[in-house]
Amino acid sequence: MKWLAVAAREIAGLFVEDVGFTLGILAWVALAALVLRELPVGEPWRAAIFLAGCLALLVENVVRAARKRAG
Amino acid sequence: MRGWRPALAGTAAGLAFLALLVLAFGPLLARMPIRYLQLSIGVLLLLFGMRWLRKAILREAGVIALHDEAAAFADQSAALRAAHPRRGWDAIAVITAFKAVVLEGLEVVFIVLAVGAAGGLLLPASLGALAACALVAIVGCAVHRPLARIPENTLKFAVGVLLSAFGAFWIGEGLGFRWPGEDLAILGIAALFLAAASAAALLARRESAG
Repeated sequence: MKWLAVAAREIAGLFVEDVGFTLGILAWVALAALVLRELPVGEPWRAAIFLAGCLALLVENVVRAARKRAG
Repeated sequence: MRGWRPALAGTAAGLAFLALLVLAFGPLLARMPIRYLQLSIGVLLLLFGMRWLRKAILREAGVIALHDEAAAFADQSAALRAAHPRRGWDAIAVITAFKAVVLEGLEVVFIVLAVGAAGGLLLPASLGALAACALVAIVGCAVHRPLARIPENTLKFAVGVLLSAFGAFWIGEGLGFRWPGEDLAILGIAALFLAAASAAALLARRESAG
C-alpha cells in the first residue's frame, strides 16, 4: 500500500509542484476557452494571445520564485 | 551491489508494466473525439512541460541546486548494502529495480501517450522512447555508475520547452484557434518558449543575486 501511495504521489507530482503556478495555467486555459474564443479578434491573434499568456505566466512565476528565495 | 540477475529481472518487470500501460491507454485515448483529446492532452502536456521547464530555469539560474545524481546513487547504494542479504530470490533488489524503472518511466509513458495519442503517432513515439531506454541501459551497463556527466538540466530544459510547445499547440487546436503555418507552428512556439525561458533564467539569476 505504501508503494501505491508513492506511485500516486509521483503521478500527481508530474503535473503539480507549485500549486499557484498550476492553478494559474488552468485559469488561463479556462479563460481562453470561455472568453478568448468569443472575442471579436482575427484568427491568428487568438492563438498568439493564448501563447503570450502562457509565456507571461512562466516568466512571472520564475522571477517571483527567485525573488522569494533571495529575500 | 546485489548482482545482475535481480536487477535485470526487476528492470524487465518494470518495462513490461510500462508497456502494458501504453498498450492499455493508447488505443483507449485514440477513441476520444479529437477536439476533446487535443484539449485534455494539451492541458496535461502544458502543466507537465511548464512544471519541468520552470524547475530547469530555476536550476539554470542557480536559484535551486542542480540534481545530484552521484549523491542519489550513493544513498541508494548504502541502503541496498544495509539491507539483509537473501539467498535465492533477492526480493529487495528486484523491487528496488522495478520501483526505479516504473517511477522514472511513468514520465516517459505520459509523454509517449500524450504525443502519440493526440497526434496519432503512438508507434513512432513508443519507438523513440524504446531507443532512448536502450541507449541509457547500454551506457549504464558500460559505466556501472550514474550518468552524472550527462548535462541533465540542459536536457530537461530542452524537453520542457518541447513539451510546453506541444501542450500550447494542442490546446489551441482543441479550442479551434488557428496557428499560422498549421503544424509547423510548433517550431515557432518552441522557439518562443526557449526565448522566454532563457530570458526568465537571466532575470531569475539577477533577482537571486540581489
